[in-house]
Amino acid sequence: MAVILAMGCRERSRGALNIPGYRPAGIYSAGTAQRLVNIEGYLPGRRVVILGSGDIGLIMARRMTLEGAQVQAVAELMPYSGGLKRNIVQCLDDYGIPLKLSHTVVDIKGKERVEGIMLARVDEKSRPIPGTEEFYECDTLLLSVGLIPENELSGQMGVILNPVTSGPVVNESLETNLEGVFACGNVLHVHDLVDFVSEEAKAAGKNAAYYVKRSKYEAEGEEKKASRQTTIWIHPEYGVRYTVPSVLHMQRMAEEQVIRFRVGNEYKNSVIRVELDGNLVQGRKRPVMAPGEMEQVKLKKKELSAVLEKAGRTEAAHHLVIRVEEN
Amino acid sequence: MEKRKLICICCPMGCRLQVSTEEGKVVSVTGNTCPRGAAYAEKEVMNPTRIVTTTVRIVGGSEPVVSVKTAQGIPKEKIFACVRELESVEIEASVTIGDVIFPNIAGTGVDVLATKNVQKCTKNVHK
Repeated sequence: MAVILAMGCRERSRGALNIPGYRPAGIYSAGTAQRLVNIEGYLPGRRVVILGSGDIGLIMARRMTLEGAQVQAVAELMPYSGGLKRNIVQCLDDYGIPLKLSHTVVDIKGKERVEGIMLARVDEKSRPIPGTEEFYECDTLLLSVGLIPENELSGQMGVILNPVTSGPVVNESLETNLEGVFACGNVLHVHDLVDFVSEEAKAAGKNAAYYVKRSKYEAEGEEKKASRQTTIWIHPEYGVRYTVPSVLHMQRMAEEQVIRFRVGNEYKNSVIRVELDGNLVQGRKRPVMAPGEMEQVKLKKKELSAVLEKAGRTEAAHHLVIRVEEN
Repeated sequence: MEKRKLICICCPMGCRLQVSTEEGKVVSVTGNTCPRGAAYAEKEVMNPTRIVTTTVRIVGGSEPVVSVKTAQGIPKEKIFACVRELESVEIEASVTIGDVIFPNIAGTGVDVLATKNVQKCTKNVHK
């Protein structure tokens, strides 16, 4: 039997933020607004301010504009956008909606219904700067402030979670620390594009089917072999926040393995460096990288084997480092 | 000579493009790192188009609205005309993915298609 964890993620809510002010009607998560407009056919407000530049918030800025609402601004706490560049251009720039970077909500006015939002600029420690407040009259505040993988069940099962992604730690087969338990999609790490979610789901399905179908005899044989297996631990270092997967078993890995990750800051004209036991495997130039856009490197089994053979290393555990090298 | 600044959206790199036009023609594109950027800049300046996604009301369906999109990109300046024209449209259930919901939207020659299935429903009818 195999289990595939595919519970997706949920939106960070207002409760997770520290916004002062009353709790009037008119505050929605971007996903709730999306459901109201696109599925239930209601427009949740006429004059809108959006906090957070996540992709759902950006898409809702355009969606609400098309539905006749006036979207006044998108405020983002960080100095860079949390969403895809494409969405900034096509959802905000196309409609002249200002993106206010390094800004946050410092007050919500209104007791029964939102009457206005006070935005302020923040310093490099994300603290609001007094005197920079700007008031926006509006009836609606949308929150697009991040997504959290739904791993309460996984944790209770004993699946080890990565504190950076809040998703399971998985190997090349997308298998967790529990044998026969796999994970894919937004429960594993939050994606930008559904295409990669589908790709991951397909891989998890295939690996789980293989796990179920192989005979007990084969499994025992593999276990015996496992002691002689070459294991490569992947370590995210400078600039790289996490990787999926976190560990590769050379014997089980496909000819080509995609490693997905996110960077922690905006980087220009830098290089993604991949080293195996200190030997360069790959150095890929990247003109622009941003936290809002998932990155990937493709590792070829042949290349990894070549490095290991050349170094004449025979230990079972090896270490692969992925980091950003700035020029 | 007129100059315009654009951000390329062909890939996540988001190259900053500068487009120079003279007498309604593109004379140069700089800042692109691949040929797709140049093609995007030219199209974006000469004839920008967008695929528009929105919803249309359903009568007698299991759901109140159906999601729709334009079959191809329509001229950018027709986006609002397209959405306004669809505002008053009501479609009788059932609807199947790919159904033409509205032909030749806003005189663009482009059809609007359903992107979701909605079944007929006699109970719990949404108006």
